[in-house]
Amino acid sequence: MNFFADNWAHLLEWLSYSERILPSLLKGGRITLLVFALTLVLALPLGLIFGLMRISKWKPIKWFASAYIWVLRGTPLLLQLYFVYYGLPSMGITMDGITSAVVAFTLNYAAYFAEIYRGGIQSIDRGQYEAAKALGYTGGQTMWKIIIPQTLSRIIPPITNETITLVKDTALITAISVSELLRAAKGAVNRDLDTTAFLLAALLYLFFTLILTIIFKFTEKRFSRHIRRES
Amino acid sequence: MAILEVQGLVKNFGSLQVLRGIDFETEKGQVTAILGPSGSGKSTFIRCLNRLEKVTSGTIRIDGEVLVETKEGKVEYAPEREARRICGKTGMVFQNFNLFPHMKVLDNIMAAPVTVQKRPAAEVEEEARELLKRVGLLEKAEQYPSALSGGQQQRVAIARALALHPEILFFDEPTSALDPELTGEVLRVIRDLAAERMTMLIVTHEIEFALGVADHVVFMDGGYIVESGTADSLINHPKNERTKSFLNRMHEV
Repeated sequence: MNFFADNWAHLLEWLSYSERILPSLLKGGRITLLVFALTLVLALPLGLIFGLMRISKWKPIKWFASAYIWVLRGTPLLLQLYFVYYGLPSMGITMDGITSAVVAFTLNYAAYFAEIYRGGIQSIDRGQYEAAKALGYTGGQTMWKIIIPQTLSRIIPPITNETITLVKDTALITAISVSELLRAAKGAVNRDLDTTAFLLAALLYLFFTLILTIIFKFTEKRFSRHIRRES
Repeated sequence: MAILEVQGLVKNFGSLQVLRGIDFETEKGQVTAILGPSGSGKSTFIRCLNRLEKVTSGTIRIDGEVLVETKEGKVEYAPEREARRICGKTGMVFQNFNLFPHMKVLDNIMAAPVTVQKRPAAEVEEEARELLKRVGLLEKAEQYPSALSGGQQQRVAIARALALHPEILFFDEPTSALDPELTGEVLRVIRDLAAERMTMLIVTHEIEFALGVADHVVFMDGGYIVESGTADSLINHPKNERTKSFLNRMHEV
């Protein structure tokens, strides 16, 4: 009986400790969420622009987009973050930590999204362009009404992957002293010499990625209605 | 009056000359079948007529308007907007149907009239349902193309082309991708259109069908129109040796 009583007491103690540090973690979590959401909202359209430039018939535009993607995918995200936060001020551009993070993440993720869009667009059959042209669609109408809608079911899975990676990449901004979730957890661990905060942080990240996975699954289904699956 | 006039049409793919100077004319209400062995340039020919291929040289007039002309060796297309308007008088049915897979059958038919011609959706929908009825697929209006057989998809594709009220319809081997038992339903729709005096240009391998539906038959080989005439005269009494041997081979099959 003693054993259970002891453990019960431990658990209660642990729970009350968790409850005490949770508000500061959630406060960090809000920053994480903010950076995540802003990055996603900005990088998705920016990526589409780069993706379309990447397949442009106009060579300089194509080269520019290719070079952009090469540089942003070919260097560490942390380095890019340092560059925006520590490097740009020497060129007269100073931003606070959160803004720097959003800028660096947006520029980086746009490069990854661009490649996903490009792959999606190039996977569409040439016959679709021909049918659209024969029906009198302009190039722009063809892209927006015929081609891009068809890419959605194909690009959502890789975009889901990148988005989940983005959730975890937000932990990098602890390196430029922004009090996001991981930094808040680390603060609690250092202060209380108790790693519970890390566990709670992990649970929050997991909860967050779970929600995203569910949302994307639903979206993928919505945009795959026209595809027949053998049952 | 000629609804379509083609003069000296040449098309090169790199160093390969696929069309070597095609002269062709068709009248309103006329049905023309284009026969010929594969590689003879017949598909390329009709693909040039709505700019799916850019011509190397030659002149194309649709309903009296110049789509492209060649003056002193220089090829000149009508400006983009003009060219799109002129090509808007044509419709095309593809070998592989090329329906838009992300749109339901009804939306496939309504899309171009609404997007391209800016017609009110309600009016277009009524007409689209009418067209679906005509091709016998009204009950499939709310289905996605992937739920349809090849023959059904091709009939939808014909309805889609008709929804833009084209002056002339091009068919690029409309039954070649179909299982034999499904060609009949597509040919029947085309035959109905012929009976309504729809102007059509049909690239096909179905000789019996061509004989039955076409007023005029053109035989192409090696990038030239080798022989042309009424369906009966060309198919039953060919003069050119190449036409004869092609028809013999087709009859053996």
